[in-house]
Amino acid sequence: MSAPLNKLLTFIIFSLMFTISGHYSFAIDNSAKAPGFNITDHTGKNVNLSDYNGRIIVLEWTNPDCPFVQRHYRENTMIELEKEYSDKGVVWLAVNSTHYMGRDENSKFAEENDINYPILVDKSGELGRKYGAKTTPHMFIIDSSGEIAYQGAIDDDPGGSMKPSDRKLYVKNALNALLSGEEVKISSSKPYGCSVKYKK
Amino acid sequence: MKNLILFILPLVFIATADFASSQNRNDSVDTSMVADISDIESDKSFYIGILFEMKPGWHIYWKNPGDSGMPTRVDFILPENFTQSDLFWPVPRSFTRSGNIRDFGYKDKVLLWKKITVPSGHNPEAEIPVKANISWVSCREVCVAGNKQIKSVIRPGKSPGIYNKELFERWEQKLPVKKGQEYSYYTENIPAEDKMSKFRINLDFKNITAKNIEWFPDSGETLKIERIEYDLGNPGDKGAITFFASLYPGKMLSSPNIPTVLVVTGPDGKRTGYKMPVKVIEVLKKRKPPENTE
Repeated sequence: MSAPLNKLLTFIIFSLMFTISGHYSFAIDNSAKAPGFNITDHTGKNVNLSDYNGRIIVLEWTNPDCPFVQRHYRENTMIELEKEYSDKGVVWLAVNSTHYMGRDENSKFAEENDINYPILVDKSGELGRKYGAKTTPHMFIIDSSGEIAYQGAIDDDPGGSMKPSDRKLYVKNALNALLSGEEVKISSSKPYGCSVKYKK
Repeated sequence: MKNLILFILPLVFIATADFASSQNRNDSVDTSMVADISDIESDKSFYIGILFEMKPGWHIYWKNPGDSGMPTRVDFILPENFTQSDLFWPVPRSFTRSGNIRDFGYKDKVLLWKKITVPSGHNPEAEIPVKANISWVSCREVCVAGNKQIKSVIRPGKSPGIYNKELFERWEQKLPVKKGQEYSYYTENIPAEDKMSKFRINLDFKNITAKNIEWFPDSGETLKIERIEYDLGNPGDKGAITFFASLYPGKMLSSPNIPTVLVVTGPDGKRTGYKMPVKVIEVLKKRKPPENTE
């Protein structure tokens, strides 16, 4: 077989492997290196994970059409957390992997909810599948060394029926631990919410 | 005389005052309270449930919703001393979406119900107020949250009672059954280069032919279970289910077994669910949690 044909076949095989494996998004392991990304946000700005090297980063999978997300934004859960922790140097990035939502829909969501942080427009679902995001919301925290320190639910109250003071605040507790240099005791929990609406 | 009245007072009239105070508008699911009550007698039982009817394409969730969604919730509020069983959950279905997201739930229609026991010394002529608080998430391409409160009063009387015996019997047929001699199984831990533990449930179908199998672990928020795969092997007589599991940090299981349901589809297409407790806890307890791995 000629060298160029060999190279072409190798390329095709690896592309197919990536395509097949990419369809199945399994949860990323804790302590794994957070997958890098280079993606546009709702304002059109390019966001690269490496822009935030050395910082603690929160990734929040979202979908404005999801009743769980709607409840949290009515209650300002993410907005208040972002405000509190951005003052302490934490970076908050929302990600929308909904296949039918582009920049316009995300901009509208940001405007209606006074969202001051980037919403990464992941229409293709590539970023979501890399992280194994399954629900909206689904939270990931990347520590300052670039590893996954927490993944799962924002709290333990999927129905929103508990008194706020009774909720276990997984993301808040994990951020407090990281900022204090302590171990994140609850490093994962079962995420709750609507399924991420990936492209079929 | 009192005993005679109790004896000839079999019929109960239910005035169903349906006060639907939905906080969220959810047109994808209709809910109604149904009951199978022949009479109200001390120390005897009756059934009361919520019938969910989903519009085409929509589904609601099982007690373990799977990767997304939320368990459907039905809470009955009855007078003091009336005891309630756990909620009865018919055999669920699996809904798989892009991104390897697998949910467990129901489409078309489902009845979720409880057995209510009348306390000793109950006055047979007393009215019984019943309230049901219901919450659910229904999904199709999008998801919608729903909640409803239904109030009703059971009034003893001479009017014809509300019998739904056939409805309840039909749904009872859809409950998971205790496994008999249909098949045998054992669970083993399989070595895997992974932070989660891998298990295989080996199935030997002795007296049934399995055209398809599905597995529904009731692991709740304690156990993370993923990468469920099925293998039917030689046609119909053996099979295996492999999965990966780990305990979520800070969570404990009260029993060494996780309750699961194995659903076997026979050659006639009929789905039968079998209660199948699976023992994984001892292996998981010995395993170092991922965050402590060096």
